[in-house]
Amino acid sequence: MRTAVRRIGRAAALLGVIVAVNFILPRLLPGTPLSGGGAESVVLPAGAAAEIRAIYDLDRPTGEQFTRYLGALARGDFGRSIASHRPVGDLLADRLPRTLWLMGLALALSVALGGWLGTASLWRPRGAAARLAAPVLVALGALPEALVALLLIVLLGTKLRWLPAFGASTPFLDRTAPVWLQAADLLRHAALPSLTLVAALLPAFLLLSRSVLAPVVSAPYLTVARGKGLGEGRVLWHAWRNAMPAMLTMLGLRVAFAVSGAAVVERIFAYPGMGLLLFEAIARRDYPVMQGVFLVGSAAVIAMTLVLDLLAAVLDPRLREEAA
Amino acid sequence: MARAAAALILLVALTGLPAAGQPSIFRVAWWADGGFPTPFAFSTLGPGGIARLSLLYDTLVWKDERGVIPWLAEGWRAGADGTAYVFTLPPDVRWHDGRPLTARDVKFTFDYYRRHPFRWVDTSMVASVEVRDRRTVVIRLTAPHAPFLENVAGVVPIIPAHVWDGVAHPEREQALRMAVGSGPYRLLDYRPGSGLYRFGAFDGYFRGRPRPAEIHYLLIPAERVVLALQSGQVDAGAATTYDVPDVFAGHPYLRVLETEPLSVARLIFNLDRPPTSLRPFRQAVAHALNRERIASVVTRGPAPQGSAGVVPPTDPWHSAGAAQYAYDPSRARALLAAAGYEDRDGDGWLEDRRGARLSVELVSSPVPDAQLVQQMLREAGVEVRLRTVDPATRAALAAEGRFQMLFTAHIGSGGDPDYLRTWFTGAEANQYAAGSRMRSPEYLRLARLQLAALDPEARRRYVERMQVLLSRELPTLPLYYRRFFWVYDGRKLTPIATAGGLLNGLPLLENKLAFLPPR
Repeated sequence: MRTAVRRIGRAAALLGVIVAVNFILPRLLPGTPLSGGGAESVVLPAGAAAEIRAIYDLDRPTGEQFTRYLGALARGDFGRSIASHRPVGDLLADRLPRTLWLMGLALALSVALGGWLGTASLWRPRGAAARLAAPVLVALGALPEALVALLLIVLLGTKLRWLPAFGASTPFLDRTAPVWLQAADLLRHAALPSLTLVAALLPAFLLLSRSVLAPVVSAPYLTVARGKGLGEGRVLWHAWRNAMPAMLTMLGLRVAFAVSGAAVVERIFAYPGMGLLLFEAIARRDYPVMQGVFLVGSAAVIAMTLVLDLLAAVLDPRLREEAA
Repeated sequence: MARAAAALILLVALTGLPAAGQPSIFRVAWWADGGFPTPFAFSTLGPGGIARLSLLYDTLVWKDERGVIPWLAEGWRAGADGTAYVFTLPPDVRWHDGRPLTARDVKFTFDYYRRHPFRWVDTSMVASVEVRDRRTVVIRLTAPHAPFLENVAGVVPIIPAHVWDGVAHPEREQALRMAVGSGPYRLLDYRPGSGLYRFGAFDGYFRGRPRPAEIHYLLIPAERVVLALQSGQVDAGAATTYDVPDVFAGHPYLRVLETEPLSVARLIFNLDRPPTSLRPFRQAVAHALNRERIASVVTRGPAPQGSAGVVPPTDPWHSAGAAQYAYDPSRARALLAAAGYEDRDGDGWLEDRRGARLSVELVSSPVPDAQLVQQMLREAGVEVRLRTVDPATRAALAAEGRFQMLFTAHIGSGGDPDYLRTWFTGAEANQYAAGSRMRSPEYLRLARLQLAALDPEARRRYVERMQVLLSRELPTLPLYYRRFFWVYDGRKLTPIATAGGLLNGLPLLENKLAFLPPR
């Protein structure tokens, strides 16, 4: 219990440090929210620039900006985007579910396929999984995401026209359509970006499952299990129970990092998630949005690390003893 | 299990949802979210936001293929001293919510912009606005302002007093009910972040019912626009390379509109830092660069070569008297030799009299133009150190004058030539570079004179002389001018080639005249 409290306290302190760093980092970048960026920049008339500076406290000393930011944060207010003038909280609430949906799909597929192929290639070293699928997928994972995305867009999006190649849903879709049709629409739009992500994520899970299972394949307790007459499925389950903590840790961290989105993929597919939001915020030096995305992303990583720590201690008595 | 999975995959692949049904929809691809379309919340990063605004709101005057035409004002009179304009409104203009648009709204607009400035153009030259009667309004200026009609009256959206009166933070108001204009289209839907806009025809529009019934804007990355057009996902989209017309040549219904070259790709020299502060060095750079080749490599076609006087050769304001610098490497070497730079140790690089290599930093985004400049100056013996940065950093370095040479490409080299004043006298100092302002008293005097000139011929003389001075001083070297190639569905649209570009020099397709019944 004391260990848990200590870890929670440490996580809270870390979050405090991150709040300060998140405030400072965007301001260390060259340029300001008014200096322009993106493909084509325009010049704000002097009066308009002065008004924006005043609205967003940019005309105040940095220290004062920081204290006002902390005060707002304490009230749960992330501020407003300087580019769109919308509350950052609203932007995050709009983008986060889309990113979680996209990354969730990609992670679920990667874990399931990676775990299955990793196991199959180890269990049956001469099978198709070991000889063909695993090497091909690992090689595919080495390709840049942008290239994989482009191949998918050209082939499935433009040539065959099976799947939409941009956006998160059909533009202005009929909201009276049946829910299952709307769900299918979301799935269709997430298909190509999540496949691109799967190509990048899957090899890691494949290799990890192989490496954590390899030492236990010939372990005596599995021989005993087989000797007791257990079926191969049960034997596999015993093997996997030992591999599970490593897979869970990796999955947990991936989920935590997923909160910040997948900037490259979201940009290529014009998928309005957290990654694209961050990309645009950096390009425009939109400090409040950068702070918001960084903070949510950092908080997710800290929280997930804490949960994994506590969970590991619960699941593995040896860790509890070490901590004690 | 396997059957269920297969069925799901098939369903996902084949199930497409139709967009909310309207028979006549025109879908335009654009690569950035233009923000919420009010004069206070739209995005000023690129011309997309202001273009959306022009469909929703009207201005006092507008532009067609020949120039400025009456719009919300059916007529106007300018006072003899150029400081007062009397505009007369038509009797039957209504806002989207059905209320009448009157002279009071025009007065309110300019008064409100004094407290909450319009984000696209400066309106501070408007001293006061007087309502004569329900349809007549007098706008008084602080001083004569020659580009007032085209750059202010033709750009500033007139807003409804009954919507904005009493609103203290207009940038925060982003509900659909606030986007009330008098333009040919109403805002039906906007998805922030997704960059999706749905405009519906305003049946009560005073210039006739617009077609098509709906215009949709879809956010598509610039490099994917051609693919989206080919696959029928959009009805219009823009590119900037000359191979686009060939791609769509012979297409049954997709046509290409080639805009005026309203975008300029140019080098900016810092006049405060050596060696770019030396005029012979700048002239040598101009001679050493094969600008025709740079243009053809980057735009894949015969883009107009840059004029040292900045105004494009295709523009009616262009001065033939501006000095030009033909590609002539030997002339470049001679100019540098006269300035004291020679290859003293035979290594191919030029050195100054103390033996230090002639080296200059070029700030640029990651674009091929900068690499071509580097290669060509290498042949002239000048070392170019490329500093590749993101656009926001480049803009900041330009604004703060922290560069020697800087490459930028931007729109705005068209329409009224007052940009020769704003870009080079510090009136607009963001990306147009501190450190490269013209300091010549004659240039500054001409800039003021052309701004106040009431006689068009006198103004032409001032503007032409400004180009001559710019071409001699060379604070910037235009490499080439870019056209926009708008691909559009010819069955749905007959576009307008707006004189000098839409609004204040934008190479865009969305002139509202194209959506209205013939005049």
